[in-house]
Amino acid sequence: MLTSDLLRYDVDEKYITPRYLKRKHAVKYLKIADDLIAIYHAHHMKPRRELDEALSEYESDRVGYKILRGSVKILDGFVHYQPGEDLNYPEFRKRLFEFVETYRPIVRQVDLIHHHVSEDVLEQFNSATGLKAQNLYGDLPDQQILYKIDIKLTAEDLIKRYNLALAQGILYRCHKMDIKIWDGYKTVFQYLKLAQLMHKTHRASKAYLVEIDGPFSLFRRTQKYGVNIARFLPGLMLAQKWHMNGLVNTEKGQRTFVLDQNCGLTSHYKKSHPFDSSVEKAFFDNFKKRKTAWDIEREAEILDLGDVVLIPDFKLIHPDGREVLLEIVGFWTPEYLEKKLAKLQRVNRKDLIIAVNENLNCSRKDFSGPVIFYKTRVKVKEVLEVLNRDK
Amino acid sequence: MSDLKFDQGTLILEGYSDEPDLPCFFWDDRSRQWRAQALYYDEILIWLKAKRISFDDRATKVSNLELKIRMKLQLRSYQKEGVQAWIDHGCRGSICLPTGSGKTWVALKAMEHVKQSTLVVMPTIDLMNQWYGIISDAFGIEVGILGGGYHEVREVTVTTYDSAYIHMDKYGDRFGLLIFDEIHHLPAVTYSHIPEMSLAPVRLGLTATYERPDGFHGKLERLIGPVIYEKTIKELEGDHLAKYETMKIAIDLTAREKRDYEKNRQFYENYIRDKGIKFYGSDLTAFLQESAYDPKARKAFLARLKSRRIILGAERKLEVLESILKRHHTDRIIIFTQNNDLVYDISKIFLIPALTHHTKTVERKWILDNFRKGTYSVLVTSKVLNEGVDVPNANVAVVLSGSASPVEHLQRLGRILRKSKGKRSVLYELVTRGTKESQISYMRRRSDAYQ
Repeated sequence: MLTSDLLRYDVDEKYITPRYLKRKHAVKYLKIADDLIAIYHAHHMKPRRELDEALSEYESDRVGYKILRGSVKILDGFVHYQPGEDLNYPEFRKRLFEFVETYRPIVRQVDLIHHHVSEDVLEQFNSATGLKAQNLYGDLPDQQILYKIDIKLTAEDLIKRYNLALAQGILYRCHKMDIKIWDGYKTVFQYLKLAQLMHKTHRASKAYLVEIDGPFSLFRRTQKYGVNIARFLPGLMLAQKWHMNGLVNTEKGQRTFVLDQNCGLTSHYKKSHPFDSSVEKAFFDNFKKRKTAWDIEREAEILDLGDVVLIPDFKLIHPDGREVLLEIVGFWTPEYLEKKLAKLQRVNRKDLIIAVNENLNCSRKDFSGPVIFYKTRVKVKEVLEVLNRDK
Repeated sequence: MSDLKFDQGTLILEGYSDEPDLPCFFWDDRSRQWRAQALYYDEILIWLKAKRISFDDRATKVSNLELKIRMKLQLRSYQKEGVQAWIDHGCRGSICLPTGSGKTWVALKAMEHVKQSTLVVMPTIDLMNQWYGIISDAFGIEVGILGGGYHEVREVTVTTYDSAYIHMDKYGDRFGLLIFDEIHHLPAVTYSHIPEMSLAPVRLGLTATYERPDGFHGKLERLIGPVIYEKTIKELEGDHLAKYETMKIAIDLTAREKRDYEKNRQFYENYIRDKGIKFYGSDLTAFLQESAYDPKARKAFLARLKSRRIILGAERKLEVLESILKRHHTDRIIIFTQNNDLVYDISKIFLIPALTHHTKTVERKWILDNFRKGTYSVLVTSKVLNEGVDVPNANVAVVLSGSASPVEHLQRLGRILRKSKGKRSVLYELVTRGTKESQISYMRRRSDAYQ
């Protein structure tokens, strides 16, 4: 993640816009990224300090040091440093300094009164204890060795990560984010929950609007949740079609940060699996094959319950305008089931069919709406029966 | 029956159908609940009881503790007065005492009085480690640490402002007493969340320098309570603190250092003059920003950095330091320098234990314990010790380099001002002659301790 001193952006009257590394300068930046990766590889098994010096030499009085340092920061997330000697350094220093105390003052050059210089004292310590260290402070961060480089990252990946980090860095100062999503609801809300954010959902014809901030945002603007919002961004980017409006504090006041699916940024997060289980997949495939007037859509509706949402697995749509939701409750842990039931009871909608695995410890009276019990598969026929019964 | 619940640094009132006539409650349309800052917990309880509303307090996880100070503690008069004033004021508010006057004891007494789960918050990891040691020793309990690579929350926990800011929404229901060391840091917009997201009914602030140049200390009244006791360094000196003298030693640069210094300084100053930049405030910020894009500004910026490095690490300073070490070889010496590299150079050349922000908790405790016991007689450190860490019984301090901050300097002085039988303390300040650093030193001396 980029610290605020490394961010690059423009602020005009309305908007804040990151200065991404652009495709038209690709040759230049790819060269820099390649150079940086090469410098890291050249310092494999060398002290970090030497790497840092090489990097700052590469930087020298080059303009655009923010780009370099930002890229270095990202590269650093892919490497591992460790002390050069197999030694308990703090213990070593403790014994050494206790030993040295009787030799004070240590001087740089012996004279008539003072005859202890550090080299001699270190040798005496070595012969008294058998302990020796090449570097008294080999465990310090900048003295550690660049031990492992796990950069499978190409120059192009580095630039992608950099651009994403730039957008996230701006969101650190975001106090409220409004998004619009046309698909991928389950994935997006999973990442929203993971980031511990609060949301308010509104329906907008074929899409959903979601206002995002945190509990304390109720009282005043706060950037407290900026980190969470930044963490959420790559999750949002997993939707096919999306739009976001972030309200960001800048030196010049509040500005808007806008992104959508055409922003050119790439997410490195994982999409949630298209189906929660094979039961759902089988049902979907079978329903598609069946000749019926009803059409089926996956995860097409968000039921906002305040602190949580429920996104039913399927939505069944009839040409005459009828719409029914279907949620399949598969085999889960008792805690999960309990939460799920509580959630379903709160929904309390007559147009929500619930299909429950009959091995689960629950009965018809746990649900207010229509229920189907199933053994291994949810039968399309049974669902259609319920649909047509309610006609 | 209503439920009062803690939710991520806020309080929610569930099952209360009316609109609560208490200004701290806001309707939250997202979760469809009444919500208030956790800060107002006490006020809400009073309101609920006054209105005879039957409720279930499911918010607090505060626990009562058997806290008893195990060691013999001879509190000084001003410490006793301070604690009493705080208790008289309903255990809310700040106490202002100079660095080195034993604010820690005041805090321990406050904890012993309240006897509830307590969170102690301070600005640096170094201070955190120190409080960790003191509280463990004083009460003989396991103390939790949040921050500096640790995430162990216990009934009594120490943490930093940064970590508390990040985690308070998770732990704001656990503590009955909050103690803020160096409370003048608290009014920062972000840090204000710490007291706001905690339901702790009682709170104590400690500092040597309550007032902030930005005036934001005014916010502390709502978050903690008012200043309820104050003593300045002048009121305590001689009485409770050792006498001290300061020796300023001018250092000449070597011929080569001087050449380099002049060259870089010249380049920088020419640039500044040409651009008409004033050397402070927003102009300086603009210059720093410009140096990221404009090659000339970048060169000027690097020249400024180089010239500063030359004066901070002057070769002759090492010579003078060596002679001080010789002269005071029976004394207890602390060497201060702002530059970490210089700390480690000095440590290697003179084999002196080094303490910087890189030093880990265990080793830090060893070093400070050993210095306190007298096993070590010398210590070299960077500015991590600046605030409030009391290292007793040093009588010589050497300041090798520093910046123009009066607060910082005052706190460095505090390190050797500890009272000890018939002891005279000396502070050496090594300043490079004929350079920008003399000006910095002048600014530093304007602070109260020199007048």
